[in-house]
Amino acid sequence: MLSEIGTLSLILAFGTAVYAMAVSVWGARRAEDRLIFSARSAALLTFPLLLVASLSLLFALLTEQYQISYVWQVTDPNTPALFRFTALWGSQEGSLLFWCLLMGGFAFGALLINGREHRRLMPYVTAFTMATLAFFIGLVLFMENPFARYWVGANGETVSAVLQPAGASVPNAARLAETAQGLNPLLRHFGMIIHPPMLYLGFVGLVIPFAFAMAALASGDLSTNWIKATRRWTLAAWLFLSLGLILGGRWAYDVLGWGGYWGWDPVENAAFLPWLIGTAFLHSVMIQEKRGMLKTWNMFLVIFTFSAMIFGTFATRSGLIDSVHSFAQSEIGLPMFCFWAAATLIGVTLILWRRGQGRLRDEHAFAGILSRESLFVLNNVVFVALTGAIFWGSFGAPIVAELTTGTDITIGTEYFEMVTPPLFLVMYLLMGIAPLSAWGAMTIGRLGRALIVPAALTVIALVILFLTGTTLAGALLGYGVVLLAGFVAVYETVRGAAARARVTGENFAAALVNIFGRNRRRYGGFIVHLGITVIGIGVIGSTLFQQETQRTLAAGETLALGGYTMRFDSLDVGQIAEDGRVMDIANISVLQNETVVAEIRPRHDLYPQARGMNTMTIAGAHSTLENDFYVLLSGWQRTDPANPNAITATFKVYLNPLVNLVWWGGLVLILGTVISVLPNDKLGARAKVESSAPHRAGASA
Amino acid sequence: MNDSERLPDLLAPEDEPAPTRGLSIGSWVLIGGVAVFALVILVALLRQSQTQPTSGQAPDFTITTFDGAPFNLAAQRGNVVVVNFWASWCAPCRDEAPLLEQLWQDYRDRGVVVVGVAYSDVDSNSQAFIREFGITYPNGPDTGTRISKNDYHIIGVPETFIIDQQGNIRRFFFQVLPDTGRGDDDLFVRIGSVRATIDALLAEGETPS
Amino acid sequence: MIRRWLLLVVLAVWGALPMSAQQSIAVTDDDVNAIANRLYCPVCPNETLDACRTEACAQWRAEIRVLLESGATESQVIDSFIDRFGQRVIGSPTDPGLQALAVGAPILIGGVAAAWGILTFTRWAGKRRVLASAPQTPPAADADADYRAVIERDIQ
Repeated sequence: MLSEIGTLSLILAFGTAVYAMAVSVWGARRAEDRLIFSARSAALLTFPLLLVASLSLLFALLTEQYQISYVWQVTDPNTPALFRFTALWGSQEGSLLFWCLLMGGFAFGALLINGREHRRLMPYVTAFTMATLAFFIGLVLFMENPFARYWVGANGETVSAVLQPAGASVPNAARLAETAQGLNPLLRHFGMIIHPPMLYLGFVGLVIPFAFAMAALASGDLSTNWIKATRRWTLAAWLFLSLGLILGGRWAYDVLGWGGYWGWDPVENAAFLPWLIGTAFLHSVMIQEKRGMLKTWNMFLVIFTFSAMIFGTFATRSGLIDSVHSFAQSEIGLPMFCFWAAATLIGVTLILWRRGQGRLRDEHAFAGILSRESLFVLNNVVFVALTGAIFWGSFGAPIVAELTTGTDITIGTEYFEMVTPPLFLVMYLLMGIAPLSAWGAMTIGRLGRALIVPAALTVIALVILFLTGTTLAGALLGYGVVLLAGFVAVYETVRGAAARARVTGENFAAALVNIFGRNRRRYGGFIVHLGITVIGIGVIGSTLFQQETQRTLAAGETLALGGYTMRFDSLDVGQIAEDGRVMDIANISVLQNETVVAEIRPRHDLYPQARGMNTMTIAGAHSTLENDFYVLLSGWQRTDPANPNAITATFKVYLNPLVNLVWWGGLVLILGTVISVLPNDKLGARAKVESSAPHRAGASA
Repeated sequence: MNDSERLPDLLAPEDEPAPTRGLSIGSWVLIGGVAVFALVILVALLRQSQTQPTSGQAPDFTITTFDGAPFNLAAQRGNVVVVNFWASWCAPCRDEAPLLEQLWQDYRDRGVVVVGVAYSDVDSNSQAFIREFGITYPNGPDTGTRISKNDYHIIGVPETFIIDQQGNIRRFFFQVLPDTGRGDDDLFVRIGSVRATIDALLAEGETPS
Repeated sequence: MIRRWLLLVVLAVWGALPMSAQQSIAVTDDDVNAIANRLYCPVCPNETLDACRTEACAQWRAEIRVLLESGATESQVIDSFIDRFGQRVIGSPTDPGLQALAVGAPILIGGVAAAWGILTFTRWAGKRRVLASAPQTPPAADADADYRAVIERDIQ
């Protein structure tokens, strides 16, 4: 029953999306409101239909309908309720349906909220979002249907089909439940409850700016309408993407058990690339808003952000690259490739066509090389270079090496740690300078004066760091550049509040609150910069000063690393958890100055039922703001067959300095982005309308 | 490969005053660049999805066996060859090894050669494995992982190919054991089907068409 | 091939040495991990040998230990793995052609990006001279005044 409901609503959703796409374009061409309205209504219907389909699958998961092959693949009778829920995105078919649902949700929101404005743009926005959505629904429906069921064929063989094939019978329910596979152990973690939805939201949200940009190109309404309409959508997608990346890092840190959070794995990089281009776009689009420049360039950025997102999805799900993260190889590679290539080529051609018509001409010339717009252009160069270098390492070099020499090569951390740091340094440097610069023109003297206070603070911080033992030149350079960017963000905010306090006579705290109320975009942007600074410090600390050691200890023995001492107290072997996994847990005391500061329990889990990767090493960590003392149980041996308590265990121990700043910085970044997305206070907004629009203050650079 | 290489002047304010109708040469070059880029990805995708060959001429290879003798596949023309990719760290390979040895003993006088290619395995471990199971058919390491990955596109071990007297791949066994781990009967069924395939090929060889 | 024979000879000689000489090279887990961290697992893509928990990786780590105990240096161990298993085991290719491809390209990308930036800026500089007569936003008298203007617009 659920299978039929799900499939039927998918068919209907696919139909309405295709209808909306076609009729929307037709209506726009013939300028018939009736058609456009009909298309929009159809488009709005896709989301509820996808919701019905997703709820059917969810209901099937929760009620253990193992005849549905997806349910059989990702859950078993031991699966706790929470993981039945997250199993919705636990494997290819379900996660694609979930992906469609989220994309449908974004399209629904955009059409509902922006639907009544921008009469020229909206029909094409409908068309482009629905085309994208229809493609993904089509993939689910025709190639990866999660509602397929198992049947026993006439000859006793197992077949998988949505509808009962002729002569086939329903398999034995008990046998199905008994053989069900259960969720991939790697996904049984709280991080996995929230990481994929966030990443998917970030990914699918990019369809909105893409659709608006394409609509602008197709309709010829190349004013800043599309930018105004999409700023919040782009920021929302960017927020979710950032969250997804940070949570992914956290998940890797907790679950993958190698002491780090970012492994430069092609799949991680595939998610990072759209973030990089998207960030470049968020900055460069401000130049277009303020100065009417870089119109062609912005179009390229928005289309390549979308293109990178589709490419990442395609590369991850098609088996183009081998990766620990990738989904099993499947047939959807070719259709996804075609969609990616078509979207990119159509986008690029549309841009060049409009540019050829002279419709993307700049309204201003660059007034000065030392201006905010030039610094933003430099920022774009850095982001594009980062994108290029990371793309090359993850995909380009392995593919080209394979095609030209037939050699499989691995591009690992070594490459990325050599190529990206200089670019990130320039990025942070620009992050420090650009907010101090002005639109139009700026002299070096003025910039220098604005820099005095943050630079002085940075120097003081560096001297303190040096005196407290950080003498590595590279680290000091890194900390210096990153700190400068942070101090500039804080200093500019304080300066803004102080100026307001002077003018209005409010006290400083009230002034601070008010400037945030009046210009959320600018000050929210500074908080985002602060978050990126905090992350940067965490990354430098945990990358350059990580310590690790591995030792085999008998009970009672100790091991010292970086000011901590760990004592191996005992090992609990063969604990069985409620979901059936078998755990070996080490009890460890962490001592500092001979006092116990923490008891941690690193463990080794075995999932006897799971196929393939069936063990997990879960770290135990003593976490402080200064560092993490992170312990992995690598293995254990009995030393005396006669005495079951004679055990030695091998531990891998990491000291990860400042790693928590990465997570805290992530929170700050989220806070800043939320502030940027929120509308300004009513009063402020009115004041802004009254003052002339092109001179709106500052930017969330 | 990188887009930045092809966008040198897009940031610049535009110089040409007259709107043109068609696309400029630069635009065509850019579109062509994107198309070539897409094409490279397509070729990579198609090559990546290349699976184990199941028919046609078997890719030739030469290995140096652990006894120090060279083994060349092409030199075995006229024999039925069973090529088995394995590794000492692979659990299903342990189940398979005695069966393959038995196969070799039963058929070695009838124009059948069994050859083992060790995949990503340390020589000393491979040799210990061979001793443990008393394996007597030729075995050697896949130096540089070229035979297994570039020629036969295996995705894991064990994988087995059966090659006829003319050097054509006739049968491919993805895994001798089904991966449920509880199907010992199936193992003999599969080995039975290996034997059936060999018997058929030998019969074919006796009655040249 | 020759390398493997050499290795066998080394191992044979090592085995024949008296115990005291054998104990001269003590290899810790950390020594092994330092090298394992640079090598990649043969079965789980993009996972380094020190982090990987498969049997294959355990055997490879044991092999690293054997080589180190026999007196091999870090680069000799890595070369021996590359010889046996190909370029795929190392995180950055050592073959000169592949190295040029892998590392040369990003340098080229960086160079092109930098050249593009410089080119764009020189164009603007040229443009600015041409447009010198065009109306321009007059630079504010000092940074603070400019800044205050911004803030005041904010708080109107």
